[in-house]
Amino acid sequence: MDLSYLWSALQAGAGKILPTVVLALVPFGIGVLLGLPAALGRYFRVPVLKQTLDVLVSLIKGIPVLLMLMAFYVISSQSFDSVMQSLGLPFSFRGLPKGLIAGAALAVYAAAALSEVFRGALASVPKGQYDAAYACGLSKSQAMRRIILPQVLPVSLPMGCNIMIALIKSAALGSLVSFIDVMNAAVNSMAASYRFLEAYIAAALIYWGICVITEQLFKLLEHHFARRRTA
Amino acid sequence: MKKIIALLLTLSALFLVFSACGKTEDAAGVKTIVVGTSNDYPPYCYLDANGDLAGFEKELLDAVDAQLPQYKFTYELFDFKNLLTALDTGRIAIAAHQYGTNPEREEKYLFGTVGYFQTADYIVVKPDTENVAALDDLAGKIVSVAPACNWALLLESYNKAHPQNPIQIQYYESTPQILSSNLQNGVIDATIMTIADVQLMNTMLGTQFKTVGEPLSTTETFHIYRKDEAELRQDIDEVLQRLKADGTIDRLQKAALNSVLKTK
Amino acid sequence: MSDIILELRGLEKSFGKRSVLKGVDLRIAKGETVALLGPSGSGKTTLLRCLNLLEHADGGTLRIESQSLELHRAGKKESLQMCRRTAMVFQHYDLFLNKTVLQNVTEGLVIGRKIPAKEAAQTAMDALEKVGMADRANSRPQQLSGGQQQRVGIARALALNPAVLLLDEPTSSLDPERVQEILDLIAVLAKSGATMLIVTHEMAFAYEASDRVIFMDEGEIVEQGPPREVFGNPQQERTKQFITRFLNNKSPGYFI
Repeated sequence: MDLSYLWSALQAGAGKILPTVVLALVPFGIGVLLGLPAALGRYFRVPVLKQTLDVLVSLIKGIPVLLMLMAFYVISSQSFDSVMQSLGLPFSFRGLPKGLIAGAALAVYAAAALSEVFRGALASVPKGQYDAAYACGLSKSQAMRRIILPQVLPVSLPMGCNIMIALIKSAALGSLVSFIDVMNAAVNSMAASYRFLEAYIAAALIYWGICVITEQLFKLLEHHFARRRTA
Repeated sequence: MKKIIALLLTLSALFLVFSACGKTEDAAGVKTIVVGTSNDYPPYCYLDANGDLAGFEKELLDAVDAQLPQYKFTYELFDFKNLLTALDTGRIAIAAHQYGTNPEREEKYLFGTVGYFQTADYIVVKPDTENVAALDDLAGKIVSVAPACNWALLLESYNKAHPQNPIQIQYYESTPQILSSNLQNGVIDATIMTIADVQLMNTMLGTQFKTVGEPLSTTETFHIYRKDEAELRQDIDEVLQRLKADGTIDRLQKAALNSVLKTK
Repeated sequence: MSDIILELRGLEKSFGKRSVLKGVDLRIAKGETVALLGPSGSGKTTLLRCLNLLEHADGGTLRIESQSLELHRAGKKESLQMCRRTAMVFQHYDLFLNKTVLQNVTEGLVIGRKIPAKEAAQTAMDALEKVGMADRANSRPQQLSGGQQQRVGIARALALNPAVLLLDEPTSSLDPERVQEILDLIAVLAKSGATMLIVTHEMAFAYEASDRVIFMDEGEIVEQGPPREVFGNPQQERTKQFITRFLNNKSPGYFI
């Protein structure tokens, strides 16, 4: 192993930290926005919606992220242009940032995974909390907003953190759709010298760093909620 | 601190996975040499209908092996980017994957002295493309190549030399089908390939892509060894020299290409 | 009694095929304390939950104060309105785990009844004062003992100033040594004129503190009357059995 190559691979990889984190963070946000209502629909057994979501979630969970990414890419490469044309929009697949395709695939995965997390967290809230809220004269939506969800979110944090980390690591799959993340930037920078081992170690170090920081941020949030709970 | 120790342990475990022996010697003094290659670069290395390794790389080394009683070659398959790591850690003794050379690479590895294949790299475009004959004509256009290969390097260095009007490099790591459909549909403007690659793709996928202009580069391909394997290299290169002179290399290479085209 | 504040007619409720309440009629006068007795599974708790509209009844008419409601076809708005006429104390306290003691009490006032925050806080502190928990207003439920949590549960219900206070086995989850202090607290409330319907297994308490006991079995009211009559001279065979069985489990002379 050659430290000077490791250093330049580190630099090349570090240059892609921001897009890598964005590629995980945005799908995570979308996953929360879609996953929470999906979890509510499933947990409260809303007719039709529940069955539909059950099938969808099991389907998405059963498909490797890699395959989903490829499917998104192939489908959009074949139909994006005609869809945009029929909508009269001036976008083409050629000009489409490939990170968007990766992001869309990861968002679908995140929504399914987070809906499972929220469903589990919902189940951890005792039934008595609903009874007490209704008995105090709260409507269903008031009870949900003020009593149930504030208890669901802290419980979801540890599993949510795992999913965020899974998303960060999945960003490396973005190379399949021509998205350059930390790992691919590091590997590409070593094309001239064939120092791929250094590139991999550099990428591993950077990913590890990102994940450690992510974990610490989630832990801070957890402490924050725990303090509020017992203080 | 605990985490750093854990990381170091993990990394050393990684080395163990890649290590094991690229070279062993049996009682009769015959050394087993593990050759590393991949399975996704026809006609050089690919899996045949039975799932066995086939292709020019193996054909040639088998021919070399036949003339070297003191060695016995076996093959192990890796992802292209992991091949040299396997070489570094001693898991394989030779990496055979149409490697070109440059001074930077020679700093770390021992390259064969006999180039066993001539490749010429061309700009490849759709049949109806005009006005593209050289890299300069691709400035501002989207050119797709596999990451970390010679062609990627070629484009990167062009961009370094022409920072004001660079080529848009789009790395693809998916299938040749996707590359070809992207080229066909105008999602990308060009790619870079050898003549044999284009011929193969056109036959396999029914496309009519064409090469344009002069070759961007002509490179010879070499086997790669670790720095301390000069003896192994010399033994193999002597045989390669003979096979090159008597036309065996040429014949094997044509046969490999033809057999791939025929199976289609 | 003349001033009937709650009137229930023909309450029916089934869970699947099992009929839990088979046409229950009930009238409660203002200021009355009614104890609801009966073996487990007799439908006492379900009756309470139907009065509070936590359970959707299959049939029956409920009037509380001036509002009447056909329970099986009640709309959302009327249901919420009717629900706000009662308040409930739960067996497992069910304090809001994400809120402080004070917030537990103000929640229903501010959100459910739209009372201004300042006024709500005053009402809540008064209620906490009544149950002896004012000094723990800023604690979290997780920091309180069971008995303390139930005091807060009672304050939370009291603060809503309900027409009828419903208590569902308020001492069943408490440590034995804590039971009496909660019963004493409820007895004080009864004396102070609150209208209460209490599901309980505490016979001595029902005997001492209630104006009337109702004995339920298998989804029906079997017998009711002043405690002295029902305990001393039960008219129905099922009531007799229940009281005898209960007496056998306790030392003689436990409550009379």
